[in-house]
Amino acid sequence: MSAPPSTFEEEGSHPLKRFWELGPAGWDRTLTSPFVLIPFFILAALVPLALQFVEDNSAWIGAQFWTLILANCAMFACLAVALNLVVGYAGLLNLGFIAFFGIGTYAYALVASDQIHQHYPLWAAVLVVIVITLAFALVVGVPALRLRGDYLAIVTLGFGLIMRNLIIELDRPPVLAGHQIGPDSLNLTGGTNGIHGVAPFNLPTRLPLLGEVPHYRMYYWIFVGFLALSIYAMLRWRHTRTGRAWVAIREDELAARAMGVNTFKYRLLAFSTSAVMAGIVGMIDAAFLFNAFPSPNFDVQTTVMVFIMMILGGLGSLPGAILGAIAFTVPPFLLQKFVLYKYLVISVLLIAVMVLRPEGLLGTVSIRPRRTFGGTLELLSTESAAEEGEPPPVSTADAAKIEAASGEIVTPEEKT
Amino acid sequence: MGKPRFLVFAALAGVVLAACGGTAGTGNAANKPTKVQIACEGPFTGDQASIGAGALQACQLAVSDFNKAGGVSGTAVTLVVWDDQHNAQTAGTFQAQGISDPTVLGIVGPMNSGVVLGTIQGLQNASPPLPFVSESASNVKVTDQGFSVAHRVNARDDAQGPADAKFMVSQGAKKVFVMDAKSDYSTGLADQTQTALKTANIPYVRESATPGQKDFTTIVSKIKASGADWVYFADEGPEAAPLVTAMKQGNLLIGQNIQFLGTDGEEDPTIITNSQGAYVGAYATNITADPAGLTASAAQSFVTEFKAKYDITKAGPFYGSAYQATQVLLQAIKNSPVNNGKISRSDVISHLGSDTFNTIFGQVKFDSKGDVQGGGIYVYKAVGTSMVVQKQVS
Amino acid sequence: MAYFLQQLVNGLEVGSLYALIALGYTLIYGILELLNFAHGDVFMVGAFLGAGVAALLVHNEVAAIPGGLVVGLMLLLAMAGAGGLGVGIERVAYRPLRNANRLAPLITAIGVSLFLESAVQVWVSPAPVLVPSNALVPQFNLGLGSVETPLTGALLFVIAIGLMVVLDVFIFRTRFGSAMRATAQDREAATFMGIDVDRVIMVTFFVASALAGLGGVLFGLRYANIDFFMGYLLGIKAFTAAVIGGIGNIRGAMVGGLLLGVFESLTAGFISTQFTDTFVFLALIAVLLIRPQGLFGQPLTDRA
Repeated sequence: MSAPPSTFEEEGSHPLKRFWELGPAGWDRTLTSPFVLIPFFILAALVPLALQFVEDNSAWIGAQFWTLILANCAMFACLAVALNLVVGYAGLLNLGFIAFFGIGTYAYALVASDQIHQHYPLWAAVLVVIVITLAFALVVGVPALRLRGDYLAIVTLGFGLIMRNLIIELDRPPVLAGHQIGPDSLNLTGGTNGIHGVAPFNLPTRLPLLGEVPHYRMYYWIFVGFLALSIYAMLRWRHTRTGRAWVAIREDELAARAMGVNTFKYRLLAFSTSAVMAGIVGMIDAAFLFNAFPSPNFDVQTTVMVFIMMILGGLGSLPGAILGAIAFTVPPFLLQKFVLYKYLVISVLLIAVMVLRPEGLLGTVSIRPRRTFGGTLELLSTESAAEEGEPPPVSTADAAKIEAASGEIVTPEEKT
Repeated sequence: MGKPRFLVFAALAGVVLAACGGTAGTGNAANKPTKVQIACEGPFTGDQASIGAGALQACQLAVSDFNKAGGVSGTAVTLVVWDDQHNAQTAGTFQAQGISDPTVLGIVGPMNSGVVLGTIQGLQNASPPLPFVSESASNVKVTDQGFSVAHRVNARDDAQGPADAKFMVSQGAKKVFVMDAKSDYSTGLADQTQTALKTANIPYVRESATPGQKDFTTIVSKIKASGADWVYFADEGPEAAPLVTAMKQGNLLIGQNIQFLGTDGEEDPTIITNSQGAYVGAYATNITADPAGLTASAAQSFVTEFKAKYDITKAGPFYGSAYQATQVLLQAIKNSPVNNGKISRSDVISHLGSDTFNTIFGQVKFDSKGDVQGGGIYVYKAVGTSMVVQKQVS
Repeated sequence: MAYFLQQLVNGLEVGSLYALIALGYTLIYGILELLNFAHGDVFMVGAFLGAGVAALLVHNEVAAIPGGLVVGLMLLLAMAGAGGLGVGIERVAYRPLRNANRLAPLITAIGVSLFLESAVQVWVSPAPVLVPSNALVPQFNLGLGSVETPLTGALLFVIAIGLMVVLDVFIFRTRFGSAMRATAQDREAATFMGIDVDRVIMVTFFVASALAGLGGVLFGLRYANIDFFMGYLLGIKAFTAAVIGGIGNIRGAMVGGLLLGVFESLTAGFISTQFTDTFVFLALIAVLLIRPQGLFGQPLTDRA
């Protein structure tokens, strides 16, 4: 278990002290260099084989258990990376994030089980999952992303609740105003029991050199592989025009718009890419577990779990997302006492990290002070709208003084 | 699906029998198992914690009682706790621990049908397969798929649903207002009851409550407008008190101008308290073994034992059946042969299938599918401040 | 027709509850532009404080304390307690982030909400708790013909309307109200004008949270059962009501709350109880698409 995190620190010939002195941004840079990531993923892929070796040669039992825990970690890391794209990179608060994971799960389950008697080949199933999650992302995103940030939060939250409602109720034909829609036999989602008997991906169970590969190990590798792929894509993306546009929007939207960045387009891109990534993770999960299950897929608490994984590591930080996923996936399996207090601990940590170190442990997004602005208590004034602007980076404590002195131009009159 | 109230009838004799049960076991002091583990799995935290917490306590109590009485040929049984949080993925991960460890001989649980259905294949595929005895998974598919690992001590939806419908019909129901609470347990049961009502040509209306719902004024207006003379609410319990309170405020008085039938979790005197008496006169069905064979004083001592350790008002609807399920599993283990200090799960499965077990609810035996034989469904009525057994309906 | 009117009355009743909570959302959002996710949970804590007082005084029958007095004490303590909690939340979770990225206080708000829920679940009760309403308030129905509502339901409606008027007067007719308005308009400028912005924000949180606490007690008296999770969905719906009415607008919150309550009650009454929540949130999305500033809101700068 200790293998993945320790590779972070022990990698490279730098003394730990020098590494420590680099600071969070430096850590993030070091940890995302190919010299760290490539060995890390190779090691991560070897872990289950090492566990199996230990089990075969000692009294210790638990290779499967630990591989499954690590598969959970890898899955949550994938989700945290996807959430990082929409929240950390693009600064959009998507509280219905986990619903896209659920949509992917159910989309795959529907075309790979007896639920509606469809058994698509893998490539077609992947296509279906992508198209369906993308369609949902656009249906929510296109209207919601035109709204102000806080409205996005509430609309996505509402979207998650709608999806949960639909998944649970669509195990029988809906009866609206006394009229039944569809035949009696209609059962789309399996209701609270979910869809069972979902076919796994059609993959070889024997591989050259490795021999028999158990199901759980195969899916651990798939999760790790998808994680590596996502991280690679994110790192590449960071330095493209798109990546810079996202950062520009997050840091100062007004300025980005002034520079001619089509903010809506880039936000929608981030929102839907992240949704599709979550959908694919959901699809892998459905194949991994042979079922689509409603309980964790649409709970806001699960979204919050992924949020804290991402935030603990740091907004915008990819190694941070992996670290967070490990930190919050492993303890509940080991400490049963912890479970009762899980959400207490998580919530206190969430608040503490945000208040004391908003950047997270490895954060790269500086949450810098911004110009204060008024609210919108409208009965009072017609000049209610205010825009968010960014002064040069200064410490929070000095912000007010500097701003007062700088005499910025305020644009309270701006309206559409 | 045994219930706290039922324990009043349960006997210490049952506990004692459980402890000394399975004397036919081949285990002896010279060949005792080196390590015996069982797992208790259920949603001990999370959205279903209200049904899981009490079940875990009962399971812990049953194991400690069993160990006090000598364990398996002198070896104390270790209880592993798997909190699946009503999540098939978490459940599967925990179960992997048992699947690869041959000293984990069985599972008490999983409690939610959805979790069982999501993980049963993995348990069956293990070598040897890892058996489970559920205390609350009522969906018909749990045992109907023909997996040898599947056992449950609670009644199936398709036993309780028709029995409930039959009871309402026998009481002269003309139109039934059927409600579920959007949970694993309640939707399946309400579906079964609805189908049985349809077969009996009794008109019905189907509506849903939301888990945690408190404001039932809209639904009460609907009940009134529907002209139903019976309200049937399949629920785990928490939504019943606000519903009957709202019914009373809307002048739907249970036992006077409307009848009410609840299920399992609603066979609970807490609802009488929490509805400030509005629940009095309501019926609730529950499955139990025949209480006649048990002596009341011994049952009291079991309840006393539970009360001394835990808060019985928070025990939830399944703590009785959890104790029973644990007893069943432990006796099957005890009856299994010990070879070189090891007990094989295959033997536990065959003993689960063939043996008769002494439990706090009397003797139980599983049929070929893993459903409990001879279980009865009983009707209770809220009288005064307690739930009083009326009769057996099936 | 009687059925329609009855569902309308049911809707107005639950709508006043939404309105009461929506007022708090709108006040805080108006001053700070902060979506206080924890507000629904402050409401829940208020309900539990009220239930605690009632449990102490009703079960402890040393002397027969008149029901009215107990209700008064419940309201007083719950409002003070919830108000204090609100101020505490602001101090711990929001003030340090006042100048930070918008995302930060939103995330702490989710954290606070989760904390309050799990704290009550772990330390108070995971199961529903009884508020002995029969012993506290007279149980009879008010109504015309077959359309009726319990006294507590009518009370809820009257108190919600009354408080909206009081709040309106407070904000428009008092000195402190103008300080609040100034802070809402431009916090910096307000500081230059000698307004103690921290104090204004503190009072806003106190008032908003006390309203939620009051709503909690009334909820307990009306429905007699409360649990740790009830603030979550109710809070989201109240926020939805505030958004529909036009966030930051007090009358909007009131109208939005009542409208949402009636909408919910009518869809449940005439279409389906299975999909009520789906309809509610679809309505929210529809309103935001057609009129993003809400029914009563001023057109806002669209930041998209």
